[in-house]
Amino acid sequence: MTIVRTGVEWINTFSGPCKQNNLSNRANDAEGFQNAMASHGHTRVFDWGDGNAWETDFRAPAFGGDALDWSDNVHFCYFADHGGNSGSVFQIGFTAQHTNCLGSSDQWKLGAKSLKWIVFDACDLVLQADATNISEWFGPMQGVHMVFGFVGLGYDDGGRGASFGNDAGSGAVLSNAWLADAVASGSNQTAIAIAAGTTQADAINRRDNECINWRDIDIASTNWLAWKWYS
Amino acid sequence: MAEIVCERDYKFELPAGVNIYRLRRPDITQDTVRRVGGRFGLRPTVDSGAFILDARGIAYSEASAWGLRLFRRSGGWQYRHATRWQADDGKGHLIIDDEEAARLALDAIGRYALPAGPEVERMRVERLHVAHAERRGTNHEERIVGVRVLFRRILDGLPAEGPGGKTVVYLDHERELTGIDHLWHDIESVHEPVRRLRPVEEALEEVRRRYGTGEGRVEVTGLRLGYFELGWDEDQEYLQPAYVVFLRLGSLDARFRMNAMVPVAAAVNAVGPIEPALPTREPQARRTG
Repeated sequence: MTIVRTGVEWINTFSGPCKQNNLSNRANDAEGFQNAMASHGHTRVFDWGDGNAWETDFRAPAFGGDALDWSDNVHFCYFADHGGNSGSVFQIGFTAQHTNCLGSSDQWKLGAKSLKWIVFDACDLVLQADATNISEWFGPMQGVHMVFGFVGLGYDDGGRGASFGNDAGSGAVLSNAWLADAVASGSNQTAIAIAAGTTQADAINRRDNECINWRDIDIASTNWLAWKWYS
Repeated sequence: MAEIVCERDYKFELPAGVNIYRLRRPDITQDTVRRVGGRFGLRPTVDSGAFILDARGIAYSEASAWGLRLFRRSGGWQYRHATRWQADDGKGHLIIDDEEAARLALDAIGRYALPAGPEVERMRVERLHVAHAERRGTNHEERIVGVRVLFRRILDGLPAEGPGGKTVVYLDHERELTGIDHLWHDIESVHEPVRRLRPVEEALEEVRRRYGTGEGRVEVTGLRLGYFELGWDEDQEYLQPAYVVFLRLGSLDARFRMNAMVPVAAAVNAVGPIEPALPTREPQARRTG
């Protein structure tokens, strides 16, 4: 089994200076994921919560961020918090202002260094699952193999992180695991898995078959996206 | 403080015959795998397939690619085809209406002697979509490659709420079965009848405690009474009625919203909390770099 490095960030309590609704289960999901991965022998690298979660951890150096030392210094990152989407840019909320209150996908280059897979356990990864909305991910996916999240609103449920970590960590097909585990709370929400590929066949193959053993099969250029969801 | 908005006046009468049940402790062994697998025609032995035992449960798979996974803590199981479950053959496109999907799923439930109506009701039908597109926006293709039908348990006239009490049937684009998930806690005995229901206001108080401390708006979008069943990897000793409060969390920045669900014990004589408490954690030391 290929060993992967994991990092997680989560926010339950928005004590400020940046404010959003407080949440209950974000730590549960993010740390549940990381603990489950660790139970299969994978390596914990960082776990930043509440005011310690910073938007610079995701922002590319080209935009003044520090992603290469954090989110892009691990293979598998799990972020659990609020998300929102304008239709062309996905944003995530932080309570610390370091240096912005929001992280914006138009300032990310996910996969520029080590990152292969990232979960945004938050709302609105995309507003709809059509090609127009999905195409906003061509920009941020710059080497990352797959992105996982929700179409529209998700639930502040606990448990999905641990389930997904257990399945991913033991070598399950990642898209299938996310589509089943993300909605196992019984709540009506739409999970989605988006895979990148150099060619059409590459993107489809990753969407349908990729597991963590594909860690070192790199994507030279995100020319295609292939995605999968229930509705 | 967040504003809590509940525009409906929710009231529930205690239905007749509602109980607090003691659940049977799952006993997951290779014999259990043989018993559950037998209903699907599997013959789980070390000569016919492979067993994997770990902390979560026991998995068995055989050359046919059918396999079974049982979960130690809940007793739930997943019967799935390793290569056809949620898979795309690259060309299939399924056109099926909800009624036909549900009928096929009920046929599968009946074939394998799983609980059927009036013990279950259909929750929803979901189609599995696949799509791809090229960067320049061309060569977009989308197909439906399968469908899953979700059923939930009905007990004493109340639906199962929460992750458990569910049977999910998966079909592929040829309408063939590719998997069944069954998370359904076995009842051992009646612990005691529910004496009466707590006021709904107590459930809303729990919502205030959990989500009322921050900024923004918390809107109650629904409130249901049901038996609450926990998930695959949770111990559950009792099955008891809960108020399940559905919420829409709205931040001051209107782009940021989230749904939430808060289950609260509904019986005055409830045994313990409905959900296990979240793990307590020490605040992290302030990050410096």
